[in-house]
Amino acid sequence: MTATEIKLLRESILRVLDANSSIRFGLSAQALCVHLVPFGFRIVAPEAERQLDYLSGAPLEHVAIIDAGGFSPEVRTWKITTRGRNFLAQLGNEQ
Amino acid sequence: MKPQQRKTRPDSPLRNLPEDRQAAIIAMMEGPQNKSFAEIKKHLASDGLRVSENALSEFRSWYLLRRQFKEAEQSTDTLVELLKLDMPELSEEKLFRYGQLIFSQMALKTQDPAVWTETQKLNLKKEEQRLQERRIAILEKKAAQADAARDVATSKLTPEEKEQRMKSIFGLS
Repeated sequence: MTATEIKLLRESILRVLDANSSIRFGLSAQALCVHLVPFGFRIVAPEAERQLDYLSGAPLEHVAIIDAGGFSPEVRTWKITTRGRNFLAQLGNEQ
Repeated sequence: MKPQQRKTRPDSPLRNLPEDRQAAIIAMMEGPQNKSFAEIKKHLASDGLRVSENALSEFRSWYLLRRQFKEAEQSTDTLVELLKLDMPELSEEKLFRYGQLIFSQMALKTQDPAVWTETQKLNLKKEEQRLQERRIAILEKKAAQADAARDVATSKLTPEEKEQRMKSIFGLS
């Protein structure tokens, strides 16, 4: 993937997470992969997790892992943060 | 001089509309109305709401996905409530974990079954690719060991030295 494609993939990940209005439950990497297809991205869960780890790390912190203690890494789930939503809002207005 | 900061403007006007108004716009896009984005854009403009066709397309994707996740959450809540009634001894933490598992499974559903099939095929393909790469790596390692062993066998080393080198090559020392 080119740098531009990775950038678009990360934005699409944020858009899918943004559609989840649940304040408790997050989305798994697997679910993200399914919903990224309409955005034109066909990736597998480990790739989605790599991008999620990047987005959750400093300095971005656009996504956060839901702490559902006791889950194995296969069912880690993520939610968008306020910073992530602000980032998307800014993007939307620039288009 | 202070660096100029980018001003964060308000989010998409469509997303900030009341829910019934959002539902009415979506209704225009599907079912009996089935209007084009251009027609809806014109209609909204007559109501004083100026949006691009691209914004309408993005709003539609966001709205449908959001609706699906909301339904998943409602179903999860119902199932968790039933679980709570049936097994009152379950802690809140465990209930949450079960809830998250149920929600994760429900969120996998997609409007288009072909998308699900495609995703699964891709997973299988990637796994096959990974296994193939692993096979190649093992074969390459074996070939390198064979080359090294041949060099040792044809060298002028003493039998003891050869044995020692061979053990080292095959990881036996």
